[in-house]
Amino acid sequence: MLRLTNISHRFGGLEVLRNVEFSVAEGELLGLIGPNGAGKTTLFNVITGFVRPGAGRIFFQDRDVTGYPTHRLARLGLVRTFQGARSFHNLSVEDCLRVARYRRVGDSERDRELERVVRLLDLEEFATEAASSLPAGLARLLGIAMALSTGARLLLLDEPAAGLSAGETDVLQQSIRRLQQAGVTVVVVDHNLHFLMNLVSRAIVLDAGRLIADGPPATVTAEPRVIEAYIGGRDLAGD
Amino acid sequence: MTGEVSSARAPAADVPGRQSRLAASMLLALAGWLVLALLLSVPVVYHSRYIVYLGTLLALQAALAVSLNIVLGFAGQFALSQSAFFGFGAYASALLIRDLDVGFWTSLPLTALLTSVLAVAVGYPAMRFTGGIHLALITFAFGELLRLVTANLHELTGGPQGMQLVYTPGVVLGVDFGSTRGLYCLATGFLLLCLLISILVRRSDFGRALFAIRDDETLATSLGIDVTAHKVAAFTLASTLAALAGAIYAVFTSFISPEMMNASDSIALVGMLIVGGLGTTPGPILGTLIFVGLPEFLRVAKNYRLVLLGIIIVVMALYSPKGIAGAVNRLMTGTRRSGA
Repeated sequence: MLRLTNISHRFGGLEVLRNVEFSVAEGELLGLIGPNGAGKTTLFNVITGFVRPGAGRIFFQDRDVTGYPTHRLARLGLVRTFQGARSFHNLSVEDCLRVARYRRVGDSERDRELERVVRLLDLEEFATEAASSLPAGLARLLGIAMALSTGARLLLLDEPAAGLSAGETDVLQQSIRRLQQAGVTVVVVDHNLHFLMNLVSRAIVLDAGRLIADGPPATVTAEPRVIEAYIGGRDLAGD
Repeated sequence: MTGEVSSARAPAADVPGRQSRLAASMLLALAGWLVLALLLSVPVVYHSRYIVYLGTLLALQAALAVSLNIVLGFAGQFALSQSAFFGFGAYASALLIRDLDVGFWTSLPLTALLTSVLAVAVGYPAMRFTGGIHLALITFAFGELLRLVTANLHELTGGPQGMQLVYTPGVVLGVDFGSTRGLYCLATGFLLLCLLISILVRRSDFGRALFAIRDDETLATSLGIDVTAHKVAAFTLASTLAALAGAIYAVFTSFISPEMMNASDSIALVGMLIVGGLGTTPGPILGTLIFVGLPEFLRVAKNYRLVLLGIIIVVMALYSPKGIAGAVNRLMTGTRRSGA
């Protein structure tokens, strides 16, 4: 589905990504973890066309999409969400979703598809509400619903659980599982290890721009390099 | 905040309220159209040359505000070239008629075509790489450039002294569009056309995408919307309508000069939209009535008008960011959400 080869990127003298290589299989639910400043968000930006990588290539569904603008990638089915609750605050929930499903199918088909998205994420009751009036957990779901409405085949979720209560996190977890069951490939970035480890079947770990581990969550979190980078080691050594 | 959360959690209890809100806003819209129809019929009923003249002027001014609303109100793009395109349209139409011997009605689509090419040429670089304040500066500079070029091409445009026009639209379908009343009908018809286009845009996917771009460009891009293309399209539409208003204005006054392209007029238009209600349907018309109509009736000297308008803008920006239309809507429909 998605394949990255030798991706490197620097901001001035700072090398934020170094030879990152991995691939995501169709239907997979993958976690991307790493301490602050590991390059997770930059990697997301590179994959979704917000940042053009300094080196390396990106393949989406066997097509070289390196350097494609974001909106074109979205139309191909590669869509991301953002940290926090971003939505179009002057539009209703329904209209936010319609914008996302803009012009790619006929009206009646679009309404059917949007209904499916709304049901999948339990947003039925809020369809006519203003997007700005939703509480945090629902706003996060709206973000995912908008991304899904585009007809996404691969969703990249950027810290979807940050700042949510335990109850809201549970709802979010169930929603993400349902996405995967509906046939969407999902990559989730999060700081909340507990949230991710209960959710994904495979995790990759990024530290200082390098990929340092790749495998089932239990194996990955047991690796000494990961423990050093993420949990113990340097971060706490100074204290 | 807690009130909002609980109301969002229990939408079932909110349904009767929502229905009455919907009914109130439909009544309000109906009342608005009735008032507009009444206003537009005044010059037809009244046998006063002055009233008909003022009505034509107001209709054209309102058409400019309605079209600017598409790019500034809907898409949130701060374009300051509305009066430049207004003047460009007047000159383009006049020169086509004088030098290429086309008729007035033929000059309109040709003017629209020329303007859209020019608007894309200016809008694409300005909106592709920049936005916000840069767009304001670029469109402002473009307008000034156009005004100076027009003033200096003496042979073609008559320079700063302007051009005296000798043509009229003539008689079409039994209506003499060269008469004062015929010109009023032409201007009013054009205003209604602009309103229709603005309403159709608002309800279309294109319009929703413009609102989305105004709220969050990055999010819109990430959802597959070609943000640059949409902004340029909105800018081109607004500029083309402004140019057509200019072509009608030219035949109405029989005299055009580079002063038509004055940037202060573009800025005044922005003020009208802010006072009337940015992004709303009645906003541009309300703003025009207050900015242009009211001082005319109150006979306030031109200098004081700007002082008065300055005060109104400050008060509106502080107390009703959505302008008069937003304030009336809030009062009548009881919507309390500040963001909605």
